[in-house]
Amino acid sequence: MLEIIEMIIKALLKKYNITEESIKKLGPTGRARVVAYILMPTLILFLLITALYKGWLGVDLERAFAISELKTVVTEGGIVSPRRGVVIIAEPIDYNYLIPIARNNSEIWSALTEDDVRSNKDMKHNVDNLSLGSDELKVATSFYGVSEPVAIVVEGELGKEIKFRGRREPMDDWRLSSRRNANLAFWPLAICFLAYGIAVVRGAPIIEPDQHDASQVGAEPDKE
Amino acid sequence: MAGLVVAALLGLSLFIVHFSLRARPMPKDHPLNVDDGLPLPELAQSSTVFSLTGLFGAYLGIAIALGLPALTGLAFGTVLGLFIVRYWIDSTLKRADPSGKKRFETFLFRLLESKGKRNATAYAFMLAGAQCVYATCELLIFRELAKAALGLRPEQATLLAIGVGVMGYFYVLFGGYMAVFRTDVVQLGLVSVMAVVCSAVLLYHYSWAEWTTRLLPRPGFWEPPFLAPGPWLYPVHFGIAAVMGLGQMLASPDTWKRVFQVSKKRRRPSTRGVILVCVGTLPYLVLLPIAIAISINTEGPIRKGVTQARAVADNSVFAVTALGLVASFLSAFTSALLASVHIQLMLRRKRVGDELEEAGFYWRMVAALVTIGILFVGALYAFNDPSPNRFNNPWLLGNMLMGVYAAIAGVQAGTRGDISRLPKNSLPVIFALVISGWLLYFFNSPGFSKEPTIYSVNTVPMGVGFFFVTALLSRFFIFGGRKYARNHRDDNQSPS
Repeated sequence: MLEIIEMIIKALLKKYNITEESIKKLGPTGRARVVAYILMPTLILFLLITALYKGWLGVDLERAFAISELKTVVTEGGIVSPRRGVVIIAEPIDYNYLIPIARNNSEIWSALTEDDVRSNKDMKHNVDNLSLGSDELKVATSFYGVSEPVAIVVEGELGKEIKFRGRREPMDDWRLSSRRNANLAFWPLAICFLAYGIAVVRGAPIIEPDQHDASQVGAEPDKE
Repeated sequence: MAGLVVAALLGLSLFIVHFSLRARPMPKDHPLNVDDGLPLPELAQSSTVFSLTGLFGAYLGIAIALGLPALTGLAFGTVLGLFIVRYWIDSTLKRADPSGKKRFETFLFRLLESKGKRNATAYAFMLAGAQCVYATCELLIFRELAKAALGLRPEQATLLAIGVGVMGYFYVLFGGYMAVFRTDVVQLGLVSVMAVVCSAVLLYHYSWAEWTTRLLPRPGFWEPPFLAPGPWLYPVHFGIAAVMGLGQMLASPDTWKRVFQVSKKRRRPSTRGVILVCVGTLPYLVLLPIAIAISINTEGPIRKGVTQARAVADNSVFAVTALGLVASFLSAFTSALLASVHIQLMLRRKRVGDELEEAGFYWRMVAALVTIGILFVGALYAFNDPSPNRFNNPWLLGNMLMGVYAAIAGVQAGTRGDISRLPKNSLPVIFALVISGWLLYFFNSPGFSKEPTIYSVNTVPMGVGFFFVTALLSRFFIFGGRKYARNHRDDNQSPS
């Protein structure tokens, strides 16, 4: 990653003919302007994108799944009674996790077709991409042959922590959130990039035309 | 939909800034020396009090816990503060340059006149630093409100706060005061719409009987040991809140600029007075229904008491609330950032003289942003950890800041807004003593709580106490300094 960034920076510096000397030529105001308009916002947006990508500051956009807890059932006569269950929306991202579901009825109801279920069951090695134990649901995404999110429903009581390889995380961090809220969080970020674009244009130093550039010759033919 | 509307607002404001600045660019020599052409400063004035820290921090806590007597005191103190600031600016400008053209920078520069460099440096450092911390508090509280009022997940709220904060930086960088004042007009309009909608929703949901009971102070707040609970406490509450409202106006450079702009316009004194009263009281009228509607269990942490209102489930109410919060945050954030940078620029001018300040402006913008960024990330880790026995109180930093405001306002009151009265190198000593005292008190106070609690409001009387102590200490140093100078002069003269 760093090598790619270094390569891009070097290529950009070369393309725009930015050398130590040309930086010195900018003068104190020009240098400050470049830092305030370009370098500082670039650094912040770079950190922000890295945070989104790596999950720093608790920001993790590419969530492999979301959980919603089912609590009641309403019968035909309008009688409300408690019934516990869990809905999992599993994204087609490579991820392994165990969701604690106690007192379950050993049934998984999912959006996978019968064919998909068979493809994701390795009978020989007794390994399933989707299986339910006595108190845990094991999910290993992405599922073979499935490129869309998959809804999974299991009856039972949801536990407090999800197990991943080498760590545990609180259930609350993985609950389903409203799309309206996600929109509210991301749209301003898009405008930030628009502002960044304006800042780069405003802050970029004016490049003096090269006196010996052949393309300049004849630009004003009436003058010598 | 709400996200798109917020984005449209931010984009529109960005283009307002961009195109208005093309017509009227910032002066290259002194980028913040802009007093002409700033639209409707009287409207923007209210935004100082409309800040999230004010509205949803201390002021809301006071309104909920202490009801109408304290809220009236806050409004009175704020209006009084605006008048005092106006008088202070007028008299300082007359002293600084009796015949010259009145400029805000002349006033700000005159403020840093002092005996010795250290006094001016300490003063500027405190003012600029307080504004940076204030901007950080805005970010933290905005994040918390996005979670509590709009139902955002923590990471979404963090992202929203950072995104809008970065936009605030670009506004100030592109356009300085012109950008802040122009966007403030749009932002205040949106905050007002939010206030009207929220008030209407609250009026619809709550009966008048509940309203009247909630206008009275609750037991356990601001009860001096020598006074039994009863109606005779109301004047005490009024007085404490009035000093707090006054202190915030005295210590806020953003308020000074806006009062200067309002005073600059050629109007009859009575009209000017009415405007100051209106802009001072408006935010409290907005606060009242919100304070009455929010039912907080005073025994438990606040987070459990404030839940997402059912009305926000409606898309339009959600959009209006989101817009209002974003607008309120942006306005207060940009004002604090700009105030901090302006004070730093004046200190630079004091040191290196009145030369080209464009580079200085850019460097100070970067420095302020880095400071705010570090404080925000640090506070996020230190004060927003939901694990047991860790701090999960985003209001903590704002509460701590009250002592700094008390110290600054106390120095203003003690020196009558002229730190050149203080003897050489005395201001760092005053600040060090008062801030140390405040921190010692604060770490043992109800404000230093792991979970947000309404009892943190009980730190306000002590904050007011620190204001008076600082004012007295400043007076003491002034008199002590004069006596020392007189004795020293006498000693020097006696041999001859």
